[in-house]
Amino acid sequence: MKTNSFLEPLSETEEIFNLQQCFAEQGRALVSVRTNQKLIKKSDGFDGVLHITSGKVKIVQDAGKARETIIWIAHSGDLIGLEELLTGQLFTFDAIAMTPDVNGTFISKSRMNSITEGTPFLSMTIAKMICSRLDSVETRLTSIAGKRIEKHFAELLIELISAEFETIKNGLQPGYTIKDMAGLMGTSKAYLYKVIAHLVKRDIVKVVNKKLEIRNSDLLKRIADGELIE
Amino acid sequence: MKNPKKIESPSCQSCVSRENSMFCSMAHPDLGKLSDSKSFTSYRKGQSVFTEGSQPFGLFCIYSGKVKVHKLGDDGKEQIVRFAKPGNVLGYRALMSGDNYNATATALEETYVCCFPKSVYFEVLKSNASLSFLIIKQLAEDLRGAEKMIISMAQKHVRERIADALLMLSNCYGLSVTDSTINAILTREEISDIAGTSTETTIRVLSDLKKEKIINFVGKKIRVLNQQALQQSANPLT
Repeated sequence: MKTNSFLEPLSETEEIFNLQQCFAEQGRALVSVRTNQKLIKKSDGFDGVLHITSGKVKIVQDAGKARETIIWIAHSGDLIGLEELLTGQLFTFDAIAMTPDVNGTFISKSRMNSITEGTPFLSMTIAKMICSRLDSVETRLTSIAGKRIEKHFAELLIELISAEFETIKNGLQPGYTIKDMAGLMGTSKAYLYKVIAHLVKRDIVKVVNKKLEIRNSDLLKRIADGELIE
Repeated sequence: MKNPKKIESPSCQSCVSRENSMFCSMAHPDLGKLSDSKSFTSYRKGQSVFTEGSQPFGLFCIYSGKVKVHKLGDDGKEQIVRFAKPGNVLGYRALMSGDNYNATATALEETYVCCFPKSVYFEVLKSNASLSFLIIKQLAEDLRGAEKMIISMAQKHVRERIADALLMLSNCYGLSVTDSTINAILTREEISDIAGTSTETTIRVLSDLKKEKIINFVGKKIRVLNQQALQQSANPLT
């Protein structure tokens, strides 16, 4: 997270620490949740924000026929419901726990206002959080619109393993299910399996117990860079 | 392309577009500061207000005209991410994040734009809490718009996406009261750049919509004949 000129006296660490501390002190603790539990339902009148302190939460739009599009994945430090609070609209997606360790604090609208009014630099931090999400959404939009699905998938895998992976015997395993990856790409699981089958033939990835393993990340990077399209 | 011509700058205090902008509730001393420091530039159709990857040096506010904000994909295809009209502010994201512009803003017709220097903008922002709130709100609205486009792109068929693009244009620029044409002239290529499809497919789908008497063409403009049917084409399941 970068700082603007008038925020320079605050170090990056202080800025994040203060944000976490302010929210944790003024919020209300959530009870622990289980995987796949809906934390917020579409059209909920959600008069506040959910500050995630641990775990992962997917924000999804259900497309029917067991297909969903993941809009974004919230991690520790993210605020769910912020744009709805700011624009005064209902929550238009579902927020679903992806891991069993999801924890967070609920901050009501009035508390949120008092936090931001009492600590003006937090407004800037919040603005930067939205800017960062907007950048990622627009980049994804351009990516979905202009790329072949195999290239798009390779790019997603590179992005996922650079953020979170498990090292296994013959390669790397991204910390997401194939269904979630289909959701992130806005395609069906069945179609993604077709793409995966093509990559399996070239020994770039392998599916073991419904989990994807990356066997050749160099070739995957070349596909993502558009150098290796068949 | 010639450089844009400089013309006499209107004052922010008497600006007619201000009521549609985030500066609408700003007090006169702050408005005076902005007004005294700004430059005023005209851009012809196709000229860029700012370009993707360049460093931000100020905040842009549209006085008159129309602007498209677009990004270039890896394959060289453009993706239009939003449109802007008089009163809309551009370039605030790059200023807030401290990054370079992540998109290009191009005039769709002759457009007049005010540019406030970065230093003056931050000076006003520091002393004006309501302005920073309005900027956050605008960012949140932009984010919702971009998320809607992601869903459209990921879940909708091409006909639905093109109908969505026409609705997006009519929502942003409105329909003419006299003949119900969309108050913006876009090429077929630009419509395909919103919907994320090829120009050929866009031409075919627009022709289908015309055959079904949902739209019609009036010169370079598109007339919406049946708004409800257009909505239905964009969201067939609702």
